[in-house]
Amino acid sequence: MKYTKIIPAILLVAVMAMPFAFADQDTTTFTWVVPENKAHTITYGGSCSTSAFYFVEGSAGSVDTDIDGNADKLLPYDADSGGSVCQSDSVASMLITNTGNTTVDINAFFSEIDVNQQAGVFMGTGAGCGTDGLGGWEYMCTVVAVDSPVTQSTCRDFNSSADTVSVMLIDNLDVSDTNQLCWFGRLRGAKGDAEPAAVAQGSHAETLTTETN
Amino acid sequence: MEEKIVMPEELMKKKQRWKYQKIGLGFLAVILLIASGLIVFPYFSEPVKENESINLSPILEDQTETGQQQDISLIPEPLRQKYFREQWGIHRKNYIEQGAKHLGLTEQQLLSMFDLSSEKQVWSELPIVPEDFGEINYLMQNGKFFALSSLGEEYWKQPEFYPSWKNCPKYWTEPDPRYWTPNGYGAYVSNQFTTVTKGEEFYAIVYVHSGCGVQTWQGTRLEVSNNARDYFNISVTPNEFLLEPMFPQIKYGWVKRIEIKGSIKEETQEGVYDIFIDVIPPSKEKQDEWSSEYKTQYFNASQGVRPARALISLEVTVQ
Repeated sequence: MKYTKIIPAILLVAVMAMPFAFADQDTTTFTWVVPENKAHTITYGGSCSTSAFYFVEGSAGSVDTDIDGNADKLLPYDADSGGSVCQSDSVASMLITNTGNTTVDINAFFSEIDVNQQAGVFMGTGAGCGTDGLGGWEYMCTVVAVDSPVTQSTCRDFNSSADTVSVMLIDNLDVSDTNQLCWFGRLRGAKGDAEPAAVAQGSHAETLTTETN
Repeated sequence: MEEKIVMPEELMKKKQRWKYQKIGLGFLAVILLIASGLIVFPYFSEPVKENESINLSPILEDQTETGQQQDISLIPEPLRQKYFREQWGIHRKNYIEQGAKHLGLTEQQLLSMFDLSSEKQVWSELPIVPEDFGEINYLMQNGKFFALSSLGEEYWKQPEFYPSWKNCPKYWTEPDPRYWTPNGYGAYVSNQFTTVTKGEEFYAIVYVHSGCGVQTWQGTRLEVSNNARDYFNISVTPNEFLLEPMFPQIKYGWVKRIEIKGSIKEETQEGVYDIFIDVIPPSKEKQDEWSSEYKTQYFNASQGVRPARALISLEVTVQ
Protein backbone atom coordinates (compact mmCIF):
# COMPACT_ATOMS: atom_id res chain seq x y z
CA MET A 1 0.00 0.00 0.00
CA LYS A 2 2.90 2.26 0.67
CA TYR A 3 4.02 2.29 -3.02
CA THR A 4 0.54 2.64 -4.42
CA LYS A 5 0.28 6.04 -2.81
CA ILE A 6 3.84 7.23 -3.34
CA ILE A 7 4.23 6.47 -7.06
CA PRO A 8 1.22 8.49 -8.30
CA ALA A 9 2.29 11.33 -6.02
CA ILE A 10 5.81 11.32 -7.54
CA LEU A 11 4.36 11.26 -11.04
CA LEU A 12 2.05 14.15 -10.28
CA VAL A 13 4.91 16.23 -8.95
CA ALA A 14 7.07 15.35 -11.98
CA VAL A 15 4.35 16.39 -14.43
CA MET A 16 3.68 19.63 -12.61
CA ALA A 17 7.40 20.43 -12.46
CA MET A 18 7.98 19.96 -16.20
CA PRO A 19 7.01 23.47 -17.33
CA PHE A 20 9.32 24.98 -14.71
CA ALA A 21 12.17 22.73 -15.76
CA PHE A 22 11.78 23.74 -19.45
CA ALA A 23 11.23 27.42 -18.65
CA ASP A 24 14.91 27.83 -17.76
CA GLN A 25 16.17 26.43 -21.05
CA ASP A 26 15.38 29.34 -23.42
CA THR A 27 15.34 33.09 -23.35
CA THR A 28 13.42 35.41 -25.62
CA THR A 29 15.09 38.52 -26.96
CA PHE A 30 12.81 41.46 -27.48
CA THR A 31 14.00 43.81 -30.16
CA TRP A 32 12.37 46.89 -31.54
CA VAL A 33 14.02 47.71 -34.85
CA VAL A 34 11.72 48.94 -37.57
CA PRO A 35 13.25 50.16 -40.82
CA GLU A 36 11.95 53.55 -41.83
CA ASN A 37 9.75 53.90 -44.89
CA LYS A 38 9.23 57.58 -45.57
CA ALA A 39 6.33 58.01 -48.00
CA HIS A 40 3.55 60.45 -48.76
CA THR A 41 0.78 61.00 -51.26
CA ILE A 42 -0.82 64.24 -52.43
CA THR A 43 -4.38 63.87 -53.63
CA TYR A 44 -6.30 66.73 -55.24
CA GLY A 45 -9.97 67.52 -55.37
CA GLY A 46 -11.53 67.38 -58.83
CA SER A 47 -8.89 67.64 -61.53
CA CYS A 48 -6.57 70.09 -59.82
CA SER A 49 -2.93 69.11 -59.50
CA THR A 50 0.50 70.42 -58.67
CA SER A 51 0.51 72.22 -62.01
CA ALA A 52 -3.21 72.97 -62.33
CA PHE A 53 -4.33 75.11 -59.41
CA TYR A 54 -5.90 78.36 -60.58
CA PHE A 55 -7.58 81.24 -58.78
CA VAL A 56 -9.66 82.80 -61.52
CA GLU A 57 -11.20 86.23 -61.14
CA GLY A 58 -14.93 86.20 -61.75
CA SER A 59 -15.27 82.47 -61.02
CA ALA A 60 -18.30 81.11 -59.26
CA GLY A 61 -18.36 81.42 -55.49
CA SER A 62 -16.07 84.41 -55.31
CA VAL A 63 -16.89 87.81 -53.93
CA ASP A 64 -16.64 90.72 -56.35
CA THR A 65 -17.21 88.87 -59.59
CA ASP A 66 -16.44 91.70 -61.95
CA ILE A 67 -13.22 91.58 -63.94
CA ASP A 68 -11.22 94.48 -62.66
CA GLY A 69 -8.12 93.00 -61.07
CA ASN A 70 -9.40 92.61 -57.53
CA ALA A 71 -11.44 89.84 -55.98
CA ASP A 72 -11.88 87.87 -52.78
CA LYS A 73 -12.66 84.28 -51.78
CA LEU A 74 -11.47 82.71 -55.00
CA LEU A 75 -11.72 78.93 -55.02
CA PRO A 76 -9.12 76.79 -56.80
CA TYR A 77 -9.98 75.70 -60.36
CA ASP A 78 -8.32 73.11 -62.59
CA ALA A 79 -7.90 75.47 -65.55
CA ASP A 80 -7.44 79.16 -66.14
CA SER A 81 -10.52 79.29 -68.33
CA GLY A 82 -13.56 77.04 -68.55
CA GLY A 83 -12.27 74.74 -65.83
CA SER A 84 -14.00 73.06 -62.91
CA VAL A 85 -13.84 73.99 -59.25
CA CYS A 86 -11.72 71.63 -57.07
CA GLN A 87 -13.00 72.54 -53.62
CA SER A 88 -16.33 72.69 -51.84
CA ASP A 89 -17.85 72.19 -48.42
CA SER A 90 -17.55 68.43 -48.97
CA VAL A 91 -14.32 68.27 -51.03
CA ALA A 92 -10.91 69.59 -50.00
CA SER A 93 -8.69 70.81 -52.79
CA MET A 94 -5.67 69.04 -51.31
CA LEU A 95 -5.24 65.92 -49.18
CA ILE A 96 -1.86 65.01 -47.79
CA THR A 97 -1.54 61.43 -46.60
CA ASN A 98 1.39 60.05 -44.66
CA THR A 99 1.68 56.60 -46.21
CA GLY A 100 5.02 55.82 -44.57
CA ASN A 101 5.79 54.50 -41.10
CA THR A 102 7.20 57.66 -39.55
CA THR A 103 5.56 61.00 -38.71
CA VAL A 104 6.21 63.99 -40.99
CA ASP A 105 5.83 67.77 -40.94
CA ILE A 106 4.64 69.74 -43.94
CA ASN A 107 6.21 73.18 -44.35
CA ALA A 108 5.74 75.45 -47.34
CA PHE A 109 6.58 78.80 -48.87
CA PHE A 110 6.22 80.57 -52.18
CA SER A 111 9.45 80.83 -54.09
CA GLU A 112 8.27 84.28 -55.15
CA ILE A 113 4.98 86.05 -54.51
CA ASP A 114 3.54 89.37 -55.53
CA VAL A 115 1.98 91.43 -52.79
CA ASN A 116 -1.26 91.59 -54.79
CA GLN A 117 -1.62 87.89 -55.55
CA GLN A 118 -2.47 86.31 -52.28
CA ALA A 119 -3.38 82.88 -51.04
CA GLY A 120 -4.62 81.46 -47.78
CA VAL A 121 -4.83 77.93 -46.49
CA PHE A 122 -6.56 76.24 -43.57
CA MET A 123 -7.28 72.72 -42.43
CA GLY A 124 -10.34 70.90 -43.74
CA THR A 125 -12.93 69.27 -41.56
CA GLY A 126 -12.03 65.75 -42.62
CA ALA A 127 -15.07 65.66 -44.87
CA GLY A 128 -14.23 68.67 -47.02
CA CYS A 129 -13.81 72.36 -46.32
CA GLY A 130 -17.03 72.83 -44.36
CA THR A 131 -19.53 75.63 -44.18
CA ASP A 132 -18.80 76.94 -40.70
CA GLY A 133 -15.86 78.89 -39.38
CA LEU A 134 -13.72 79.74 -42.32
CA GLY A 135 -16.49 78.49 -44.57
CA GLY A 136 -13.96 77.34 -47.09
CA TRP A 137 -12.45 80.69 -47.96
CA GLU A 138 -12.89 83.24 -45.20
CA TYR A 139 -11.39 86.58 -46.18
CA MET A 140 -9.73 87.76 -43.00
CA CYS A 141 -8.83 84.56 -41.22
CA THR A 142 -7.00 84.47 -37.92
CA VAL A 143 -3.42 83.85 -38.89
CA VAL A 144 -1.33 81.38 -36.94
CA ALA A 145 2.33 81.83 -36.04
CA VAL A 146 4.84 80.70 -38.65
CA ASP A 147 5.91 77.74 -36.56
CA SER A 148 2.37 76.54 -35.81
CA PRO A 149 0.21 74.36 -38.03
CA VAL A 150 -3.02 75.65 -39.56
CA THR A 151 -6.31 74.52 -38.03
CA GLN A 152 -9.98 74.52 -38.98
CA SER A 153 -10.38 77.98 -37.50
CA THR A 154 -6.98 79.56 -38.10
CA CYS A 155 -5.14 79.88 -41.36
CA ARG A 156 -1.91 80.72 -43.05
CA ASP A 157 -2.17 83.86 -45.17
CA PHE A 158 0.44 84.30 -47.86
CA ASN A 159 -0.23 87.97 -48.40
CA SER A 160 3.07 89.74 -48.65
CA SER A 161 6.32 89.49 -50.48
CA ALA A 162 7.83 88.31 -47.18
CA ASP A 163 6.00 84.99 -47.52
CA THR A 164 8.96 83.44 -49.25
CA VAL A 165 10.07 82.22 -45.82
CA SER A 166 9.16 78.67 -44.93
CA VAL A 167 6.17 78.28 -42.61
CA MET A 168 4.46 75.30 -41.09
CA LEU A 169 1.27 73.91 -42.57
CA ILE A 170 0.98 70.53 -40.85
CA ASP A 171 2.71 69.40 -37.69
CA ASN A 172 3.49 65.74 -36.97
CA LEU A 173 1.25 64.10 -39.53
CA ASP A 174 0.83 60.64 -38.07
CA VAL A 175 1.40 57.39 -39.92
CA SER A 176 -1.60 56.57 -42.16
CA ASP A 177 -3.19 59.91 -41.31
CA THR A 178 -4.63 62.28 -43.90
CA ASN A 179 -4.83 66.04 -43.49
CA GLN A 180 -7.05 68.11 -45.73
CA LEU A 181 -5.91 71.54 -46.85
CA CYS A 182 -8.38 74.12 -48.15
CA TRP A 183 -7.16 77.07 -50.18
CA PHE A 184 -8.51 80.47 -51.15
CA GLY A 185 -7.07 83.10 -53.44
CA ARG A 186 -7.30 86.85 -53.52
CA LEU A 187 -6.42 89.59 -55.99
CA ARG A 188 -5.81 92.85 -54.20
CA GLY A 189 -5.84 96.37 -55.53
CA ALA A 190 -7.80 99.41 -56.63
CA LYS A 191 -10.10 99.40 -53.63
CA GLY A 192 -8.96 102.61 -52.11
CA ASP A 193 -6.19 105.10 -52.00
CA ALA A 194 -4.03 102.90 -49.80
CA GLU A 195 -4.35 99.94 -52.14
CA PRO A 196 -1.97 99.38 -55.00
CA ALA A 197 -3.16 99.26 -58.56
CA ALA A 198 -5.30 96.35 -59.69
CA VAL A 199 -3.60 93.19 -60.84
CA ALA A 200 -3.07 93.29 -64.58
CA GLN A 201 -4.95 90.97 -66.90
CA GLY A 202 -3.28 87.63 -67.62
CA SER A 203 -1.92 84.61 -65.78
CA HIS A 204 0.29 85.17 -62.77
CA ALA A 205 1.85 81.92 -61.61
CA GLU A 206 3.49 81.56 -58.21
CA THR A 207 5.19 78.37 -57.13
CA LEU A 208 4.45 76.84 -53.77
CA THR A 209 7.52 75.04 -52.48
CA THR A 210 8.30 73.02 -49.41
CA GLU A 211 11.29 73.28 -47.19
CA THR A 212 13.70 70.45 -46.70
CA ASN A 213 15.69 70.10 -43.55
CA MET B 1 -11.57 -33.02 -6.09
CA GLU B 2 -10.16 -29.88 -7.45
CA GLU B 3 -7.34 -28.54 -5.47
CA LYS B 4 -7.43 -24.81 -4.88
CA ILE B 5 -4.14 -23.06 -4.69
CA VAL B 6 -4.10 -20.48 -2.03
CA MET B 7 -1.44 -17.83 -2.32
CA PRO B 8 0.13 -16.57 0.82
CA GLU B 9 -1.05 -13.04 1.73
CA GLU B 10 2.47 -11.64 1.56
CA LEU B 11 2.94 -12.86 -2.02
CA MET B 12 -0.35 -11.32 -3.13
CA LYS B 13 0.60 -7.93 -1.73
CA LYS B 14 3.95 -8.11 -3.51
CA LYS B 15 2.29 -8.90 -6.81
CA GLN B 16 -0.14 -6.03 -6.39
CA ARG B 17 2.69 -3.60 -5.63
CA TRP B 18 4.55 -4.73 -8.75
CA LYS B 19 1.40 -4.19 -10.82
CA TYR B 20 1.13 -0.56 -9.62
CA GLN B 21 4.83 -0.03 -10.18
CA LYS B 22 4.50 -1.23 -13.80
CA ILE B 23 1.58 1.13 -14.45
CA GLY B 24 3.49 4.01 -12.91
CA LEU B 25 6.66 3.34 -14.87
CA GLY B 26 4.69 2.99 -18.09
CA PHE B 27 2.94 6.31 -17.47
CA LEU B 28 6.27 7.99 -16.72
CA ALA B 29 7.80 6.53 -19.90
CA VAL B 30 4.93 7.87 -22.00
CA ILE B 31 5.30 11.36 -20.51
CA LEU B 32 9.07 11.35 -21.08
CA LEU B 33 8.55 10.17 -24.66
CA ILE B 34 6.10 12.99 -25.38
CA ALA B 35 8.35 15.58 -23.74
CA SER B 36 11.46 14.45 -25.62
CA GLY B 37 9.49 14.44 -28.86
CA LEU B 38 8.42 18.03 -28.31
CA ILE B 39 12.02 19.08 -27.72
CA VAL B 40 13.66 17.12 -30.53
CA PHE B 41 11.02 17.57 -33.27
CA PRO B 42 11.90 21.12 -34.34
CA TYR B 43 15.56 20.19 -34.87
CA PHE B 44 14.74 17.33 -37.18
CA SER B 45 11.87 18.91 -39.06
CA GLU B 46 13.03 20.09 -42.51
CA PRO B 47 11.16 22.74 -44.47
CA VAL B 48 9.14 21.33 -47.30
CA LYS B 49 11.31 21.27 -50.38
CA GLU B 50 10.10 23.85 -52.80
CA ASN B 51 9.16 22.05 -55.92
CA GLU B 52 7.22 23.50 -58.76
CA SER B 53 3.97 21.90 -57.73
CA ILE B 54 3.68 23.80 -54.46
CA ASN B 55 2.31 27.29 -54.68
CA LEU B 56 2.72 30.14 -52.23
CA SER B 57 -0.91 30.19 -51.31
CA PRO B 58 -4.19 29.48 -53.01
CA ILE B 59 -4.54 33.19 -53.68
CA LEU B 60 -1.34 33.31 -55.67
CA GLU B 61 -1.92 30.24 -57.75
CA ASP B 62 -2.05 32.09 -61.01
CA GLN B 63 1.06 34.13 -60.10
CA THR B 64 3.38 31.13 -60.05
CA GLU B 65 5.33 29.87 -62.99
CA THR B 66 3.21 26.80 -63.54
CA GLY B 67 -0.13 28.44 -62.90
CA GLN B 68 -1.41 24.98 -61.90
CA GLN B 69 -3.91 24.76 -59.12
CA GLN B 70 -2.98 22.45 -56.26
CA ASP B 71 -4.81 21.46 -53.15
CA ILE B 72 -2.12 22.56 -50.71
CA SER B 73 -4.19 21.58 -47.70
CA LEU B 74 -3.04 17.99 -48.35
CA ILE B 75 0.64 18.85 -48.36
CA PRO B 76 2.23 18.66 -44.92
CA GLU B 77 4.33 21.64 -43.96
CA PRO B 78 5.87 23.14 -40.84
CA LEU B 79 3.52 25.61 -39.20
CA ARG B 80 6.16 28.32 -39.13
CA GLN B 81 6.42 28.36 -42.92
CA LYS B 82 2.67 28.66 -43.12
CA TYR B 83 2.74 31.55 -40.69
CA PHE B 84 5.18 33.53 -42.85
CA ARG B 85 3.11 32.89 -45.93
CA GLU B 86 -0.14 33.92 -44.34
CA GLN B 87 0.97 36.86 -42.22
CA TRP B 88 3.80 38.30 -44.31
CA GLY B 89 3.03 36.97 -47.74
CA ILE B 90 0.94 38.40 -50.52
CA HIS B 91 -2.84 38.40 -50.47
CA ARG B 92 -4.25 40.04 -53.54
CA LYS B 93 -7.88 39.29 -53.72
CA ASN B 94 -11.24 40.85 -54.37
CA TYR B 95 -10.03 44.42 -54.66
CA ILE B 96 -12.39 45.14 -57.52
CA GLU B 97 -15.27 43.35 -55.84
CA GLN B 98 -14.80 45.47 -52.70
CA GLY B 99 -14.38 48.69 -54.68
CA ALA B 100 -17.49 48.02 -56.74
CA LYS B 101 -19.47 47.34 -53.58
CA HIS B 102 -18.14 50.57 -52.03
CA LEU B 103 -19.37 52.65 -54.95
CA GLY B 104 -22.52 50.66 -55.64
CA LEU B 105 -21.29 49.62 -59.07
CA THR B 106 -20.88 46.30 -60.81
CA GLU B 107 -17.35 44.93 -61.02
CA GLN B 108 -17.41 45.48 -64.77
CA GLN B 109 -18.37 49.11 -64.30
CA LEU B 110 -15.52 49.66 -61.85
CA LEU B 111 -13.03 47.92 -64.12
CA SER B 112 -14.20 50.18 -66.91
CA MET B 113 -13.80 53.23 -64.64
CA PHE B 114 -10.25 52.11 -63.84
CA ASP B 115 -9.58 51.33 -67.51
CA LEU B 116 -8.67 47.75 -66.62
CA SER B 117 -9.69 44.55 -68.37
CA SER B 118 -9.51 42.45 -65.19
CA GLU B 119 -8.22 42.58 -61.62
CA LYS B 120 -5.19 40.53 -62.67
CA GLN B 121 -4.09 43.44 -64.82
CA VAL B 122 -3.36 45.44 -61.65
CA TRP B 123 -0.40 43.12 -60.98
CA SER B 124 0.42 41.92 -64.48
CA GLU B 125 3.61 43.97 -64.96
CA LEU B 126 5.21 42.79 -61.71
CA PRO B 127 7.69 39.90 -61.50
CA ILE B 128 6.55 36.46 -60.31
CA VAL B 129 6.40 36.32 -56.53
CA PRO B 130 9.19 34.17 -55.01
CA GLU B 131 8.08 31.41 -52.68
CA ASP B 132 10.04 32.72 -49.69
CA PHE B 133 8.71 36.25 -50.10
CA GLY B 134 6.87 36.10 -46.78
CA GLU B 135 10.03 35.18 -44.88
CA ILE B 136 12.15 37.89 -46.50
CA ASN B 137 9.36 40.40 -45.95
CA TYR B 138 9.14 39.45 -42.28
CA LEU B 139 12.90 39.72 -41.80
CA MET B 140 13.08 43.07 -43.57
CA GLN B 141 10.20 44.72 -41.78
CA ASN B 142 11.51 43.55 -38.42
CA GLY B 143 14.99 44.84 -38.98
CA LYS B 144 16.59 41.39 -39.09
CA PHE B 145 17.73 41.49 -42.72
CA PHE B 146 19.55 44.29 -44.44
CA ALA B 147 21.43 42.54 -47.24
CA LEU B 148 19.52 44.65 -49.72
CA SER B 149 22.15 44.36 -52.42
CA SER B 150 21.48 40.63 -52.70
CA LEU B 151 17.73 40.97 -53.23
CA GLY B 152 16.39 40.48 -56.72
CA GLU B 153 13.64 42.59 -58.22
CA GLU B 154 11.19 39.74 -57.65
CA TYR B 155 11.21 40.90 -54.03
CA TRP B 156 11.53 44.68 -54.12
CA LYS B 157 9.19 45.20 -57.06
CA GLN B 158 6.32 43.72 -55.05
CA PRO B 159 4.40 46.55 -53.34
CA GLU B 160 3.77 44.32 -50.32
CA PHE B 161 7.53 44.52 -49.64
CA TYR B 162 7.03 48.06 -48.31
CA PRO B 163 5.50 48.97 -44.93
CA SER B 164 3.65 51.79 -46.72
CA TRP B 165 1.63 49.22 -48.70
CA LYS B 166 -0.92 48.83 -45.93
CA ASN B 167 -2.24 52.29 -46.84
CA CYS B 168 -2.57 51.49 -50.53
CA PRO B 169 -5.34 48.90 -51.11
CA LYS B 170 -8.00 51.50 -50.25
CA TYR B 171 -7.35 53.18 -53.59
CA TRP B 172 -8.92 50.09 -55.21
CA THR B 173 -11.26 48.97 -52.44
CA GLU B 174 -12.60 52.41 -51.40
CA PRO B 175 -12.18 54.60 -54.47
CA ASP B 176 -13.36 58.22 -54.27
CA PRO B 177 -14.15 59.61 -57.74
CA ARG B 178 -14.05 63.18 -56.38
CA TYR B 179 -10.27 63.01 -56.01
CA TRP B 180 -7.22 61.96 -57.96
CA THR B 181 -3.57 61.56 -56.99
CA PRO B 182 -0.92 63.10 -59.22
CA ASN B 183 1.92 63.30 -56.75
CA GLY B 184 3.65 61.30 -54.03
CA TYR B 185 6.67 59.13 -53.46
CA GLY B 186 8.64 57.36 -50.75
CA ALA B 187 11.93 55.68 -49.88
CA TYR B 188 12.74 52.42 -48.11
CA VAL B 189 14.95 52.01 -46.07
CA SER B 190 15.01 55.79 -45.85
CA ASN B 191 17.17 56.11 -42.74
CA GLN B 192 20.38 54.03 -42.64
CA PHE B 193 23.42 53.89 -40.37
CA THR B 194 26.99 52.75 -40.88
CA THR B 195 30.42 53.02 -39.29
CA VAL B 196 33.50 53.37 -41.48
CA THR B 197 37.18 54.09 -41.11
CA LYS B 198 39.22 56.23 -43.47
CA GLY B 199 40.12 54.39 -46.62
CA GLU B 200 36.95 52.33 -46.52
CA GLU B 201 33.93 52.88 -48.72
CA PHE B 202 30.32 52.78 -47.64
CA TYR B 203 27.51 51.43 -49.72
CA ALA B 204 23.74 51.69 -49.37
CA ILE B 205 20.74 50.49 -51.31
CA VAL B 206 17.50 52.46 -51.12
CA TYR B 207 14.27 51.76 -53.00
CA VAL B 208 12.54 54.94 -54.17
CA HIS B 209 8.92 54.38 -55.13
CA SER B 210 5.73 56.07 -56.24
CA GLY B 211 3.22 56.91 -53.53
CA CYS B 212 -0.03 55.05 -52.99
CA GLY B 213 -2.64 55.79 -55.63
CA VAL B 214 -0.34 57.91 -57.80
CA GLN B 215 -1.58 57.87 -61.39
CA THR B 216 1.17 59.88 -63.07
CA TRP B 217 4.73 59.54 -64.35
CA GLN B 218 6.91 61.55 -61.97
CA GLY B 219 10.27 62.91 -63.08
CA THR B 220 12.62 62.52 -60.13
CA ARG B 221 16.17 63.64 -59.44
CA LEU B 222 18.11 62.90 -56.28
CA GLU B 223 20.60 65.38 -54.92
CA VAL B 224 23.05 65.02 -52.05
CA SER B 225 23.09 67.96 -49.65
CA ASN B 226 25.95 70.34 -50.30
CA ASN B 227 27.54 70.18 -46.89
CA ALA B 228 27.75 66.38 -47.06
CA ARG B 229 29.91 66.74 -50.16
CA ASP B 230 32.37 68.75 -48.08
CA TYR B 231 33.21 65.60 -46.13
CA PHE B 232 32.44 62.70 -48.47
CA ASN B 233 32.74 61.69 -52.10
CA ILE B 234 29.28 60.36 -52.89
CA SER B 235 27.68 58.88 -55.98
CA VAL B 236 23.98 58.13 -56.40
CA THR B 237 23.02 55.77 -59.23
CA PRO B 238 20.67 56.40 -60.94
CA ASN B 239 20.16 59.95 -59.77
CA GLU B 240 17.59 60.90 -62.41
CA PHE B 241 14.69 58.62 -63.27
CA LEU B 242 10.98 58.32 -63.89
CA LEU B 243 8.67 56.86 -61.26
CA GLU B 244 5.82 55.16 -63.06
CA PRO B 245 2.20 55.01 -61.84
CA MET B 246 1.03 52.84 -59.01
CA PHE B 247 -2.65 53.13 -59.83
CA PRO B 248 -4.86 51.72 -61.25
CA GLN B 249 -2.26 49.36 -62.73
CA ILE B 250 1.03 49.02 -60.87
CA LYS B 251 3.56 49.70 -63.59
CA TYR B 252 6.87 47.85 -63.80
CA GLY B 253 8.82 51.05 -63.11
CA TRP B 254 6.84 52.12 -60.05
CA VAL B 255 9.95 51.61 -57.90
CA LYS B 256 13.68 52.14 -58.57
CA ARG B 257 16.69 50.59 -56.88
CA ILE B 258 19.15 53.32 -55.94
CA GLU B 259 22.82 52.59 -55.17
CA ILE B 260 24.66 55.07 -53.00
CA LYS B 261 28.45 54.77 -52.75
CA GLY B 262 30.69 56.97 -50.70
CA SER B 263 34.20 57.47 -49.39
CA ILE B 264 35.65 59.75 -46.76
CA LYS B 265 37.64 62.77 -47.79
CA GLU B 266 41.17 63.08 -46.47
CA GLU B 267 40.49 66.12 -44.29
CA THR B 268 37.33 64.70 -42.67
CA GLN B 269 37.60 64.36 -38.91
CA GLU B 270 36.27 61.50 -36.81
CA GLY B 271 32.66 61.94 -35.76
CA VAL B 272 29.06 61.33 -36.72
CA TYR B 273 27.81 62.84 -39.99
CA ASP B 274 24.32 63.05 -41.50
CA ILE B 275 24.08 62.83 -45.26
CA PHE B 276 20.74 64.05 -46.65
CA ILE B 277 19.52 63.13 -50.11
CA ASP B 278 16.36 64.73 -51.42
CA VAL B 279 14.22 65.10 -54.53
CA ILE B 280 14.82 68.10 -56.78
CA PRO B 281 13.48 68.93 -60.28
CA PRO B 282 14.97 66.83 -63.10
CA SER B 283 17.22 68.41 -65.72
CA LYS B 284 15.50 70.43 -68.44
CA GLU B 285 16.46 67.85 -71.09
CA LYS B 286 14.81 65.05 -69.17
CA GLN B 287 11.75 67.10 -68.31
CA ASP B 288 11.29 67.95 -71.99
CA GLU B 289 11.71 64.30 -72.99
CA TRP B 290 9.29 62.95 -70.40
CA SER B 291 6.65 65.63 -70.74
CA SER B 292 6.70 65.09 -74.49
CA GLU B 293 6.13 61.36 -74.01
CA TYR B 294 3.59 61.40 -71.17
CA LYS B 295 2.01 64.82 -71.79
CA THR B 296 -0.66 65.61 -69.18
CA GLN B 297 0.32 62.54 -67.18
CA TYR B 298 3.84 63.82 -66.57
CA PHE B 299 4.67 65.63 -63.33
CA ASN B 300 7.81 66.86 -61.69
CA ALA B 301 7.98 64.90 -58.41
CA SER B 302 9.53 67.77 -56.48
CA GLN B 303 6.74 70.15 -57.40
CA GLY B 304 4.08 70.93 -54.84
CA VAL B 305 3.65 70.16 -51.20
CA ARG B 306 5.79 67.49 -49.61
CA PRO B 307 7.24 66.48 -46.24
CA ALA B 308 9.74 68.81 -44.63
CA ARG B 309 12.52 66.28 -44.03
CA ALA B 310 14.86 64.93 -46.68
CA LEU B 311 13.72 61.74 -48.41
CA ILE B 312 16.86 59.75 -47.56
CA SER B 313 19.23 60.18 -44.65
CA LEU B 314 22.44 58.26 -44.03
CA GLU B 315 24.18 58.52 -40.69
CA VAL B 316 27.88 57.80 -41.12
CA THR B 317 30.16 57.40 -38.12
CA VAL B 318 33.77 58.04 -39.12
CA GLN B 319 36.35 56.33 -36.91
